Amino acid sequence: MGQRGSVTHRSVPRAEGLRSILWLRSGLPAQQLMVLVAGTASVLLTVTVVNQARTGLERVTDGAQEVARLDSARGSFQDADMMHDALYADVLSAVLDGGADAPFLPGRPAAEVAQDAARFRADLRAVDAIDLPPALRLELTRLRPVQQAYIAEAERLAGPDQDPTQRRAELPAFRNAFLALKDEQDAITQSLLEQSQRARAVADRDQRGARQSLVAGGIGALLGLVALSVWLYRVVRVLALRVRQEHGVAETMQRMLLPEALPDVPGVRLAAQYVPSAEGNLVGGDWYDVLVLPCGQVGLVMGDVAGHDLGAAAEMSQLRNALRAYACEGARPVEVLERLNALCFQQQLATIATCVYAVLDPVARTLTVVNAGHYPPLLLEPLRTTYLDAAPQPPVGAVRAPEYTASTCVLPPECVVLLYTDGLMERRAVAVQEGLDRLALVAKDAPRDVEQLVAHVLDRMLDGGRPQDDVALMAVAPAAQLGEHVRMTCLADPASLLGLRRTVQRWLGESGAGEQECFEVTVACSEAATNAIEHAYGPGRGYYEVDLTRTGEDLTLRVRDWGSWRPPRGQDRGRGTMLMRSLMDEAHVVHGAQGTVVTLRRTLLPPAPAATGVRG
Amino acid sequence: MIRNEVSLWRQDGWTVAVPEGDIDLGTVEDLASRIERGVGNDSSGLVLDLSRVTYLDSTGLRLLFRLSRQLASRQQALRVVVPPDSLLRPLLSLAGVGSAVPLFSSSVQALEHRPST
Repeated sequence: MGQRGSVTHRSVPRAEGLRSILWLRSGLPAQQLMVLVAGTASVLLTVTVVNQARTGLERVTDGAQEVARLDSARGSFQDADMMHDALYADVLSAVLDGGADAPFLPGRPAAEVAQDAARFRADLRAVDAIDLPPALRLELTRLRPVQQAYIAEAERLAGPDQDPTQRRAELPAFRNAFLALKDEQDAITQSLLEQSQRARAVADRDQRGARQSLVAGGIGALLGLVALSVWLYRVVRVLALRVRQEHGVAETMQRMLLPEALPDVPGVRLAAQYVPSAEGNLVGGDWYDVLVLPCGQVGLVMGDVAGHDLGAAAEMSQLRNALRAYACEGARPVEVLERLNALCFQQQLATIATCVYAVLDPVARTLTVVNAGHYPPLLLEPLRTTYLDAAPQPPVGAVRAPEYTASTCVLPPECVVLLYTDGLMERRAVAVQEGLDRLALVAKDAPRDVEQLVAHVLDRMLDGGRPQDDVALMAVAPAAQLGEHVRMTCLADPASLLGLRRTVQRWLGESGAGEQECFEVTVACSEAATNAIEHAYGPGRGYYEVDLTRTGEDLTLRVRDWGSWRPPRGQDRGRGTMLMRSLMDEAHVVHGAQGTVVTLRRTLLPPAPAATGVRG
Repeated sequence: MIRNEVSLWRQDGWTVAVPEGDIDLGTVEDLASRIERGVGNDSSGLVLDLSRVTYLDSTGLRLLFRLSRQLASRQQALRVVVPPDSLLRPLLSLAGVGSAVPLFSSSVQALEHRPST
C-alpha cells in the first residue's frame, strides 16, 4: 500500500488522449518517413532548378534582345554604307555631267545627292538610336565627324553653284575621302556582323540551358509530387483507419451499453429503438435503460451525454451503471439523480448529461418523473397529448448540488409515454418549441401499439431518413391487464414486499378472487417472499423470483430464491410457514442445493356468495 | 425506507396507537420502536387500534406478541382493536392471538372495558 501511495497518475485530457491514439500510437512506419524525406528533398531540388531555369530564361531574353539590337544596327549601318557609295556615284556623275555638253538635265545630280545625303543621315540616326556595346559606340562616335564631313563635301561638290572645272579639280580629293571612309565603315560593318553572330551563339546556348533546366525541374517536381502524394495518401489512410477504428469501438461500446432486449415487466408494454446518425462518425452518448425496481416498479432512463467520441461513450457507461445501482438499491428518483450528479463531481467526470429518470408503477398507474435538463416525456392519451415535467432543471454534472424535484402523475387509461433524445428533434434549424409541437402532432395520430408507435414516430420525425445526430426513442405503456401468467424478479429486500403484494393483488383481482381470498393469498405469497428475504441470504443481498400462474380457478404461486434458508431464530418465528399452510390449499417448501422453492396452490371459490372465514 | 403513519395519543390513562397502511418486514421495526417509545411508564397500557391497517402478516403478529410480553413485564396491558369485518380478524384467530391478547371491535370498547377480576 505504501508503495502504491507514491504513484501519481497524470490525468490526460480527452483531446490529448485522442491525439495520442491518432499519432503517437499510430507508429507511422520508417518507410513512410523516408517517403516524406524524399518528397521534401525533391521539392527543394525542384525549387532550386526552377529558379535556375528562371534566371536562364531571363538571360535568354536579354541575349535575344542584344542579337536583335546588333542585327538592327548592322542593317542600318549597311544601309548607311550603301548611301556612302551612292553619294560618291552621285558626285562622280555630277562632275562628269557638268562637263562639255550636259546642261540638259540641270540640277538633277544635286537633287540625287540631297536625297542620298538625307538617307545617309537617317541611317546614321537609326544606328545612334540603338543601344550598342560601349566599344562599338566609341568607334561609331569617332567615325561620325568624318562621315558628316564626307556628306557635306558631297553636297558642296554637287551644288549647282559649283564651277565644273573646279569640281573636276577637287574630285581626286573627294575620291580619297570616299576610299578612307569606306575602309573604316567596312570594318565596323564586319565588327557588327561578328558581334551579332557571337551574341546569337550565346543566346542559343542560354536557351538550350534554360530548356534543360526547365525539363529537369519539371521532372524533379513531378517526382516530388508523386512521393508526397504517396506519403499523404498513406498518412490519410492510416488516419482514416484510426478514426474508423475509434468510431467502431465507440459504436460497439454504445450498442453494448443499450439494453439488448427490454425486460419483461408484468403489466408494462415497452418498445425502444436506437438510430445511429447518418454521418456515422457521430457516435452519440445517447442511452436508455429499463430497470426492474424492488417494488415491482419500473425505472425508465433516457439520457444524452455531451460529446460524440469514445470518451463520451465511456462516461455514458459510467453514468448508466451508477444510475442502475442507485435505482436498484431503491433510492427515490430525485435521490438517484442527485447521487448521479454528486458522482460526476466526486469522480471528476468531464461530462455533462441531460437525463430523464422516471419510475412507473404499473399497479398504481403512476409515473414519477425527474427531468435533469432533458426534453420532457410526452404523455399520449386517446384524445390529447401533454408534455410531462417541462420545468427546466440543471443537467447532471452541471451544478455542484442541484435540488431536483419530481412530479408524479396518475396515468390515464390507454395512455403511452414517450421518452426520447434530442436527435429526434434536431433537424438543426428547427427551434425547440417547434420540434416539440411537431412531435406532439406526429405522435397524436400514431398507432398506440408501442412497437408501431416507435416506428411511426421515428419515420415521421426523421422524414424516413437517417438523423444527423443519433436518436433514442422509447415508448412505455401500462398494460390494461397483467394476464394469466406473471413473473417478476425482486431484490431480496423488505422494501420489495409492498410492490410484490400490489402486483399479486392486481393479478388476483383480475382472476376474480374475492376480497378475503385475495387477502389470504397475498399474505401467503408475502410470507414466502419474507422467508426468502429473511433467511435465504446473508448481508449481501440476493434476489428472489415470483411466478404467478392461473389456470381457470386454480392459482399457483411459486417463490424461488437461490440461497439456503437459515433455521428460524428467536421467539415467535416459524409462524410464516404455518400461515402459508393454513391459508392455501397446498404449500410446499423444497430446499435444494440451488436454493429454495415455495409452491403455493389454491382454487378460487365460485364468485357467487362472498366467502368469509379462514380456510384450511 | 417506507414509514407507516401512526397516530399516538393518551386517553383515560391509556396510550392509544393507530397505525396505518401495511405492516410487513419492511415497516415493522420502525413502527414497533415508535409505539414502544410512545407508551410511558405511567400509562395503564396500550390500545393498539388496527382498524386502519391494510395488511398484516407473521411479522405483524410477531409485533403483537412482542408488545404483549414487553407490556406484561411492566404490569401494563395490551388491548388490540380489530373491527369485526376486518380482513385481519381471521388471520389473528388463526395465529391464536386472541388467546394471548384481548381483541376488541373498537377503541371505545377497548378503553371502556373493565376486567372482571
